[in-house]
Amino acid sequence: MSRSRVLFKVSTLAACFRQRDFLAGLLFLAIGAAAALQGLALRQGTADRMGPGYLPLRLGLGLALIGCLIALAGLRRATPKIETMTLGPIAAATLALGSFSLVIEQGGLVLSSALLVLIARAIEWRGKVFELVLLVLALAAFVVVVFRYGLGVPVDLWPSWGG
Amino acid sequence: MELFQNLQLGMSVVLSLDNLTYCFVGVLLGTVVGVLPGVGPVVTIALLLPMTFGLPAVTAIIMLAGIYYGAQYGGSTTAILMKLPGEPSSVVTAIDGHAMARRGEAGIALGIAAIGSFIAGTIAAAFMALFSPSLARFALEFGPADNFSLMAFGLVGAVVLARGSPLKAIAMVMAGLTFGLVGTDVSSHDERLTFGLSDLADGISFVVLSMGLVGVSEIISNLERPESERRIAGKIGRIWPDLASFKASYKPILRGTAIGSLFGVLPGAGTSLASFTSYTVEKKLARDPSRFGQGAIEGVAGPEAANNAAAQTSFVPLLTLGLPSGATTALLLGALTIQGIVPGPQIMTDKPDLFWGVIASMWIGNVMLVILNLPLIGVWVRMMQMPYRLLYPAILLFCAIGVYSVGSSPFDVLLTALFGILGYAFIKLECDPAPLLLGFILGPIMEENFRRALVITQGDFHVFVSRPISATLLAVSAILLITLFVPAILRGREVAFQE
Repeated sequence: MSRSRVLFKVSTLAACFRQRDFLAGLLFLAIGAAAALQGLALRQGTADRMGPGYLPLRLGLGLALIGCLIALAGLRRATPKIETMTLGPIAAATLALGSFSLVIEQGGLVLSSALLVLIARAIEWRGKVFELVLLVLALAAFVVVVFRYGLGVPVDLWPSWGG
Repeated sequence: MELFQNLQLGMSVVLSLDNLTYCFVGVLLGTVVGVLPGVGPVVTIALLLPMTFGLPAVTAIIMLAGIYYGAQYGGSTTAILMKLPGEPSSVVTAIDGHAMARRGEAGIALGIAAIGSFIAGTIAAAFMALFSPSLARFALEFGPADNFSLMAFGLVGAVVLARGSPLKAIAMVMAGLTFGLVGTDVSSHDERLTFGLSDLADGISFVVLSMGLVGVSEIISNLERPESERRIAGKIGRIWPDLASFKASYKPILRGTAIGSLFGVLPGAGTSLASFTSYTVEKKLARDPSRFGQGAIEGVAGPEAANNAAAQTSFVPLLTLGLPSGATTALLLGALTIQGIVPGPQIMTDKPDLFWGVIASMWIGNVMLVILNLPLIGVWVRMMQMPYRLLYPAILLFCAIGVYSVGSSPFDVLLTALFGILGYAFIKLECDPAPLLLGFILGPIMEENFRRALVITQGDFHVFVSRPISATLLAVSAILLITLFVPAILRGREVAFQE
């Protein structure tokens, strides 16, 4: 009895969202719910004659259920709070890979590699321009020699729109 | 002595200066390409295979063996040094191997991996020479229901091996199974969980998932640290394993060899299960299991030995039944077929020179691997001393190109980035990615075996408990799960009573 009252007083909604296991539970709940919803749209079938939606729906529901359990347990027992996440490193890594993915087919290996390195280093700028230029040149050269010529990965070197 | 006759036949096929040179070149190229971050064994082998096509059959096979072992070991090297697992088995190596590297013991981890692999490869070769015919029969004993239960056992093992809360580990396994479902359903050809994206119709590639979830997330979380703490490997400690590390690892190596030799024979997921199982066993046997994940040498020695032994014995189902145990062996099977080796039950009697030639060349490949790689360890370790601000753009770039070259799909690179974010969230939420990756690998194979078992029995679920192998495996899994949860429940009660 006393436990639940304390729970409501102490943890305001904002505090809940910093509880590690509560967040973990929510993440699993989201993945599970997404899978279940997708599975629901497909033919179900029976256990011995499974349709395409049989496993996605059940796995998704199971995962969502376990997610709820983890989230509730996380609220009952105070788990460590999440430290602040810094956006810089996430942005650097994902934008670097994302730009490579966008540019590689049209822009070729050299341009996309240089772009990836520059964006990845954006959070580490520190004015070392010379070092950065050297790094870009060295990596682009290495990649071209090893992957394109050495291993024969089928990819253009230069932008296709140029000539 | 059949053993010696068989091995002698194999050796006589393989040993010549020409063959040894090609083997060495194969190991060298395999290692050098396989060690590039982001380029796992599958990519390495796919890229290097064409080089063997013009060679005579025996020479081609021995060069393949070299490439295969070189690529595998190169993959372990990047897993240990940079936490970039390119194939299922290196997921396990990366856990404690990389923790050792951070402590400045990269050289010891790499040395034990090489030596453990060599010992395992040697014992497994002898094991095969003695028992190949019975091993092939053993593999045939495993029906779909048994295979399903074996993998269920593997998943329970993954929950046991995971750090932190078992409930979260179960959720991670299920998330892995869910990711494994993405793509076109084999029997109905409906697209599942693709959210209407045609790029996902072929499913998610393992390389994309593991590079993102483990590799990219590691880079993000490294960048978050202050610059002084970012270095991948600490100060260079010992470059070579010392006597104490041998003493700590010879038993895990022998146990890993036994586990790997048995699991490798089972077609389907034998090799990936082998290293996970060995890790679980070592963690269960250890006096202080909490060391695991913090750089326990047994966590490198056992799984590496298991992986290599399994890689070797997986040639029994590959050559006698035509069943590959994973993406790498499937590629090898293709290359062997080009050389005129058609797998089938008769291959051991009809073409003993080829069968034993393959086995012998695998062993020679192992020897070459040790000779080449022990001196190289110093080079790898020193390379890790480069400032992180120069290393991480290179790692990201190799990841991007490695992923791209698997399927020539720019979408895969984007997906790797997204899994990087998810992996970073998992780090923050203290969810161990290893169970997810194993669930992802085993999911599709389990589903297939589950369906097949029920088709054979026309929907009778008793098949899973009436077959002795399957029933035993399920019982052991149940016991493992109970031992995992009972202490937690009891502890929870105690706490409740105290209030």
